[in-house]
Amino acid sequence: MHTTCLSETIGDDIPQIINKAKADGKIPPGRYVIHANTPSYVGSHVTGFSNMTKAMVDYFAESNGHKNKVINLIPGYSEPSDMEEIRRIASLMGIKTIMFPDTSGVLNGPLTGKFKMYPEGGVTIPELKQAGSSMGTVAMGRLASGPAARALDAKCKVHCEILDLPMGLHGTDMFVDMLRRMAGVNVPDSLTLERGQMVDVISDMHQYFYGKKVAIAGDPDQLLALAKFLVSIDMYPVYMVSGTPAGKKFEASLREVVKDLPHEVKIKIPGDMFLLHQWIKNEPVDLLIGNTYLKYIAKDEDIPLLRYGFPIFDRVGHSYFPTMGYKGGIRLLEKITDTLLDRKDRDATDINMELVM
Amino acid sequence: MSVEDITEELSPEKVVSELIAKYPTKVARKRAKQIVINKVGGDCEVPEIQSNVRTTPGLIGQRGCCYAGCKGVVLGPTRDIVNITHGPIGCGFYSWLTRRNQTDADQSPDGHNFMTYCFSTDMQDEQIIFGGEKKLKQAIQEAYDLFKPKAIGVFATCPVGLIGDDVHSVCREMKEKLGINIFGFSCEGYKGVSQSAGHHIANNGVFTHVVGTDDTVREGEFKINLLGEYNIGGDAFELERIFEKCGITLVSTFSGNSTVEGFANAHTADLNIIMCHRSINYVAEMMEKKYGLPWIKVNFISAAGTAKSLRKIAAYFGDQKLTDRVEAVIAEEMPAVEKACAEIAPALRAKKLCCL
Repeated sequence: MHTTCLSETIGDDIPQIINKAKADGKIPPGRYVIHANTPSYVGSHVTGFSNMTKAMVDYFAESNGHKNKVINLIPGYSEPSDMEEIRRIASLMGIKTIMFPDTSGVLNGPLTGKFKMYPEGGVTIPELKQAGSSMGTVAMGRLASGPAARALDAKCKVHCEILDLPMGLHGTDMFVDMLRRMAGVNVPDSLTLERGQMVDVISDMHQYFYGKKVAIAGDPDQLLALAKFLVSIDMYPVYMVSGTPAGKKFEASLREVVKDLPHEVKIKIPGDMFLLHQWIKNEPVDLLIGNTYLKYIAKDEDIPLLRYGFPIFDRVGHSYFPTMGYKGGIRLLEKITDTLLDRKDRDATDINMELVM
Repeated sequence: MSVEDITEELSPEKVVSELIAKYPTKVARKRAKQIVINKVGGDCEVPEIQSNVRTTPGLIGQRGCCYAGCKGVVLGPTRDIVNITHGPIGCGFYSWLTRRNQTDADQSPDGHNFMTYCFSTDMQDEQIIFGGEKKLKQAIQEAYDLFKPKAIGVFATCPVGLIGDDVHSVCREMKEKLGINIFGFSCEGYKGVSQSAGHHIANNGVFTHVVGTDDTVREGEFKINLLGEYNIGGDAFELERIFEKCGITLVSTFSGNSTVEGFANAHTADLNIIMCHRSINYVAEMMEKKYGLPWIKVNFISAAGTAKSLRKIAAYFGDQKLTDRVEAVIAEEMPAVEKACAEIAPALRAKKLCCL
């Protein structure tokens, strides 16, 4: 159950309503009602996401006294494809996992022609309960996943580590290394191979990334991970805004990422696309990265746009192909080079048009 | 199972009773009035379907809120009014460009188009506790300073109604201060049973604050307003083309591809034609009462519907020249439509369909 501005302002007490419904026998045994406080005037959509993820812990997680050889993964505000990829990496390492929330197989399910009230994918209630008996939690994204991981630690003493989203080479390294240490396993060759492929793409294509100025609008967890990735391949994320009031600490960590860039960087948290547009009008960039709403700025200023983040209304693919992990990183690199090189071809004169580039 | 077998097995009566049987008794009683077989009786009596009542809890409804009807449907497609959502960011965000309304700002000399922006006061819990009027004033001032619009509309959301912000007094104050038309709508989301209440509020607001404020009579022999056409995916552009070809002058559209000037002198037209009756009939009724402007219902869905509606407009004016021109346009346009129909008809013939 999610609350709205309306129910929060009139002061509905949801736990009390739920408890009364339970006492009155209106909730049959084996059925559950969980809730999160999600008025639009507190924080942003990331706040609501985070609150509901925490509610999964608050309402379900329970410790059976043992520590199962299972690791909880809290993948943050990610695409179903990314959740699948995160799980695949863990399973390549031979680790059993419980992932929540899990939209894979739910938001990217197949069209079968048969009606099914509940899709195949997603986390189950028994799994959410067992999450309290796991040996550890890896939470990805401080804002979206942090509160749930800490709540699980406090409630069931499941040790948690809160990382950035596993984006880019370094971001994925951190994730893989954390899994390795937490589960006491080795990194399989198959994963090392994927990593090597990503290193190959970065070094092959580096000349196209180097010194390119990028403007990003996005949710805080994505913004931070993406900025780190871009800086690591020598791109310059010069303008960054997020609509989410993510706090001074977040802004400081974002500034830390870009402090050595040989270019002035403008950051506004919370800031909006209108401001971003003004910055771009004063000094344009080579690439825009963000959700579908950026396409108006892209069109106005004739700057190529890479759709990334939430929401993407007007393109498919994001729910099927990941941008996290090594494989996802390669895809993101592919998308960046495609976008930049398409523009280069478009703008080329007959004289400097090249076949090989 | 073939389509024929399915239709044989599922008579309308059987479908209704099966649908109703699924509900608990109390819900079923309410729901039964809302699922009606469209069978015209012997005395030409059409069965009445229940509507305009609250959604029964537990049933999945596809309804909008009052704010959605007012800001989203009726005022949303107007390009040169800065529409400010007074409320938390969610309301403004979800009504931002999501209705596919197109508009052609090149038709206005000033080229104003604010539809691609999302104007919101972005209320935080601080405003919920201490009131949001101050922030609204700031927002109006900022919008004016940045864009110098001709008009600003302010839309109230649920929490605004609950905490008691008076959007109308803020609008009056800022109108006085800035010297442009600024008006508010008390379209708090919880009002009414669906977005329909918002249509009514929008109609009343536009009629009170805008319609009739400019008496310039435009040139043209047969002047009409097109009501209840929202230029979804560019529909209004096609109608504008046809009207022009027929020699019919379009004074204003409520509100696809519309401007605030169009609303302001809408009362100088000779006839109102209504497409979406649900959302805009109030304006037509009020214009009839105040300005003696009659209205007729039209329908431009399908080529046949369009031809019928054009003939209806011509018949209203009763002018032979117009009638001849309309007939000539229909005769000129129809062959292309008939050709397209002939191509696709074999694939569709005898297919049964379900409309939602």
